Amino acid sequence: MGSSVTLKVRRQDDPQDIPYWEEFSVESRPGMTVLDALVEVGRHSVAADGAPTSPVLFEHACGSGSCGACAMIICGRARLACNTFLAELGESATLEPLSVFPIVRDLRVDRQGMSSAIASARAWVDLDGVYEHGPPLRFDPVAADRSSLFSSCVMCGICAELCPQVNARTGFAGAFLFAAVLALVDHPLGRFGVGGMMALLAGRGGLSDCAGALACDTGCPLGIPLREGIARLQRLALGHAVKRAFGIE
Amino acid sequence: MTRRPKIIVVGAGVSGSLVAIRAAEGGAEVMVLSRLSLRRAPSCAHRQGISAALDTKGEGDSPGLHARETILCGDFLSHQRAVRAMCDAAPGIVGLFDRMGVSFDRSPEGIVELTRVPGASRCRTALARGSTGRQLLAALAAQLQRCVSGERLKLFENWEFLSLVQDGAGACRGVVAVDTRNMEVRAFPSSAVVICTGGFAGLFGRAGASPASDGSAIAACAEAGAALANPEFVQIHPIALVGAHRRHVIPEAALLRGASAFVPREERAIEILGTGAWARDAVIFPDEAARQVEACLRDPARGSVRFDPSSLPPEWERRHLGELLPLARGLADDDGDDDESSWRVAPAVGRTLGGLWVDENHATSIPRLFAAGEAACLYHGASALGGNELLADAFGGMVAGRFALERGLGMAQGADDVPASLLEAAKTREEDESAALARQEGVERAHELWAALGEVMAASMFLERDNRELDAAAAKIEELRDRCSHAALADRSEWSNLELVAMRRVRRALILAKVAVAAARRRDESRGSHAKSDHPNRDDERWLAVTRAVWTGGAVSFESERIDTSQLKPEAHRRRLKAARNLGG
Repeated sequence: MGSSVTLKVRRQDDPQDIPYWEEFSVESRPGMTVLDALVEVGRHSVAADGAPTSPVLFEHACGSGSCGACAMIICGRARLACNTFLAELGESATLEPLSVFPIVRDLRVDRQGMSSAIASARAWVDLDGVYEHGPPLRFDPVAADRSSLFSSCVMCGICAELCPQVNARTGFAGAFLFAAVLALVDHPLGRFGVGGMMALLAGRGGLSDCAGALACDTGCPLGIPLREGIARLQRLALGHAVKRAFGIE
Repeated sequence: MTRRPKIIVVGAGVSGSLVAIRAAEGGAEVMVLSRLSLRRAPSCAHRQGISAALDTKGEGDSPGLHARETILCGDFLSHQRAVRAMCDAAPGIVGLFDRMGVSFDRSPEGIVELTRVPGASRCRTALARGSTGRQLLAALAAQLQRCVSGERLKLFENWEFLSLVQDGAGACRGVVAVDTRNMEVRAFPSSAVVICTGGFAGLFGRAGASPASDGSAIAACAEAGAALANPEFVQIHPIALVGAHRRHVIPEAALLRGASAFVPREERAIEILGTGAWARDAVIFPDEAARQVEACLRDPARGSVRFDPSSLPPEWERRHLGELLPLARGLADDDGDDDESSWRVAPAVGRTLGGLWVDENHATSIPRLFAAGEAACLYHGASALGGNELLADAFGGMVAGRFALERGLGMAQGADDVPASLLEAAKTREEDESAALARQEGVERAHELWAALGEVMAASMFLERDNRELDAAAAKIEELRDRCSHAALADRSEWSNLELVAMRRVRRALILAKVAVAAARRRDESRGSHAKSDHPNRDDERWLAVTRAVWTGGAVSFESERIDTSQLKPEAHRRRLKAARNLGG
């Protein structure tokens, strides 16, 4: 009873193999998301033509829009599978892995590069240690609220997927890197490291490689205000570059 | 010569991250194994906030009061000394996260804003945008990466824990794990292992939890002889969005900020939870609230419960319910829901309150094996007070990190002394098991068995339990366990074969389910979240005790461990507390 949806999935058995398409027919029930549909496919592992096949491999963790694991290209748009509903997709839907990351298998890609980029920018607070330490911090509520927007980044990789500058030529990582830095620039302790982070962002693949396309701002599934954030970083970068030029930093 | 102890931490959620950082700072060689990449641990969808008696609102809050309310909410089943230590440490822990860069909501003066949650009499819960758990994870992940860059820690992401390496005396000497990309199996020696893999709420169908919470590592430790504690207790949240296969928990703090849950009626909605309900001194504890919602859902005269966020301050709603909005909208559209201002809700299992038995130092019953976070049972008793879940995860992580390190430093025999033959044998055993699973013939499929188990747990282990249903559930679980040996793989690949991993997980899940159902069957009383229609009262004489379960050769044996009530004597009924300020923070 009810309608069925055809999922057209771009599969690949391993990184060296060639991709191929496979279709699955899923009975669409109210409230089903693409994630639910992929789980259904895994339960029955039968292709639309009736031939038995292997379950489609995809990454998923929280299933609740909170972790970014299930980012993929759904009907040509980079989205999270767990909050994309079948009802909005029509009779058939194409599912493809994110294209800017190396494929592991099927819809699963390797996003380790994102962690490496964050580590290269040293986007963390230089904590003395995980022990108790003095009176509570005071943080301007407006600035704290803004920081919380940037620290919400789940590293889904959609901004990198959408960005025209993320390619082999530039070494540009993607706007998520800026989100990680922006989460710290106003924080009472994070700001101690701003000079260092800005110096690291001044190199290749950093802030100057942002071409201002702002596709990241439009496509971020959490609505992180990347446009405004990047503009702020560019202003900051100027100030810090001047300081470095004068040997103050 | 003191060698650096080698600590292996399994799991990189809130508790695992803190164990690792604490141990690394103390000088240990630390290895973190995580089946998911950083920031994706189930902690990331935890929206209830983190509690600490910072007393920022002049309400006369204190760690002592926090501890009392914790023990009360837990219906006197918590480890009282451990709870007190946790509440004493809580202000420092929130301060630590603040320093790490977690962007908690701020008060107008710029300190961490604290809010009240159901069950608490004071404002003591700190919230962060989206989900507090994820904001904690983001800061912790950054700290883990800082440790990696300082070469104090090694990260093994996308590696799944398979089993413990044990010596002749049964002590834990390492772990065996598989790289879920290339399916390489390896055995790693250690001075101590800390299990921080979360609980097993994912076993329940229609749960407000991720399927990643499958308790697989807990079951593996149980098979190795580790005792379990209170496996029959789960945390049930009163309001959760109803999805197709699972639910999405809505933070209860919303109910004290202007939101309400009501039964729709033509003339006037009946509010059952929220400002008006609290004012009438109705339900307070989370499990009581959950039971009230469930009662409405089962009553044909009432039928449905809806959540109305419209009276929330808009900025608060954006910050704390924002992540749920795409889900709420999508689910409403599909429902053919006309009412756009409210969401259909039902109670949902959020996490498990039982797990590996641990002492106050987070040591399990297996030498050199520790556990922390949701995987360990110590603080929450029969029902967790709001904001305590993340707190217990963090505190437990710090304690376990410290003690694993201290024990490691005091050991004569460390990781380097583990005989290579022991490691090789453990590795071969796992490789053989994988090969055997891959060769298995039959009509069953791992994912089908998983779905069937979910149904059994949702039906028999939810809010209202009874012995007949539990007996039926036990029989069904035995049947599923048998069907497991007739499950075959559809996926024969040797690369990134998660179905192979799933087959192990479902076998282990069935072990936990069997133990949990048996424990529930055994506990003939009602306490906190465990309510039996045929035994509706609390029976302290028989049951003021932790259920301690041991798995041997396919069967489970039980013991009752009496609770030390020297800090707070049990009261006949959980007393409802008066809030310091009426109606919310």
